[in-house]
Amino acid sequence: MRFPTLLAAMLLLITGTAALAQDTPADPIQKELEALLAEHEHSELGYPEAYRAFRPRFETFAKDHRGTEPEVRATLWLIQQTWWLREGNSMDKVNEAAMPLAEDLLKRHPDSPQLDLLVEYKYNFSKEQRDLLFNRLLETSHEPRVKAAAHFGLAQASPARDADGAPNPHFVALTTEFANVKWRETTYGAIADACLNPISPADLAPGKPAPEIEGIDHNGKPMKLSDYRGKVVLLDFWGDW
Amino acid sequence: MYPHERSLVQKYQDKPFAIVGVNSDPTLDFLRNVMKEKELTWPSFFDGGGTGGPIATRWGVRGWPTVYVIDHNGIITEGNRGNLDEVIERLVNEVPPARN
Repeated sequence: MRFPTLLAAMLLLITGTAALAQDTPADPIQKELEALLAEHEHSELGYPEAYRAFRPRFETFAKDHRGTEPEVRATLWLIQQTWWLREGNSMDKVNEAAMPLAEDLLKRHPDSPQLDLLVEYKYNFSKEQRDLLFNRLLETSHEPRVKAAAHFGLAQASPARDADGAPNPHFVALTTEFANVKWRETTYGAIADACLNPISPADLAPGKPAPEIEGIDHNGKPMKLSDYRGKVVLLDFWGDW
Repeated sequence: MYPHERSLVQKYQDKPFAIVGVNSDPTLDFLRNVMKEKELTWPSFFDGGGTGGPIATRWGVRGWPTVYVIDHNGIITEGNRGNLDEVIERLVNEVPPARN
């Protein structure tokens, strides 16, 4: 399936942890869901067409397996895909379709470990809906990864620091209580710390020493920007989309 | 960007020049596959699996690709996507020869 660059970048953000399904290989319901997800992913149809074609099948699956974790995942797929209901710049149809599905999940599966995906799919909810949903996740969930995601979703709704420089309490929670909870292949702690302490643009201007970067390379081996001192370096922020 | 980057790596293969990427793709496997398929020979930091990764966030990167050109002393220069070739050419020629 092909799509324009900007959409691809958005989808990258939206689809993120979709692969983190439940680990119960012996469960036939889970297997059925995985087959359905894979069939959709490899569909030759364009995204909106694939949504129209697969939506009834995911709805039937959710109905037939009501009360199970695979049902939660199928409903999360339905929530994610409401994106394709948008009309021009209007997200009204998306918001209208996504919210009842999310509220139903929260009511029937308040402790599902998969509900962090509601934060991944935040673009399908209005600002007010996000505020409501994520606060409710914080109140009801006992799953650290769901609570961390909810803090992250709420943190992003306001500046990292207020006018007096005081840190956003949701980011503070992420750098303390939830610092070691994984987000993709990094941690909420690392991201929240970067959000709270960005390098000022003045310190990235020509003539300033390049701030050190310490991280890992494509093999997971430690690497530092200063390893390349003595050479002219083209530092290139990139992704394959 | 890939062909341009490959040509820079080729042109300066015997010079004090390096490309260092900061990659925002979803997984290490994804990054390794891209490097293999697109024949990217230079290293990249893996930034945690998304555009919201810690390195890009700390550097305030809002658009991709974003580039910085850093001289051999580790100082940020005026290099940007519009003037890459001339800035790199000048900087590479300013690096004093290595002493043994």
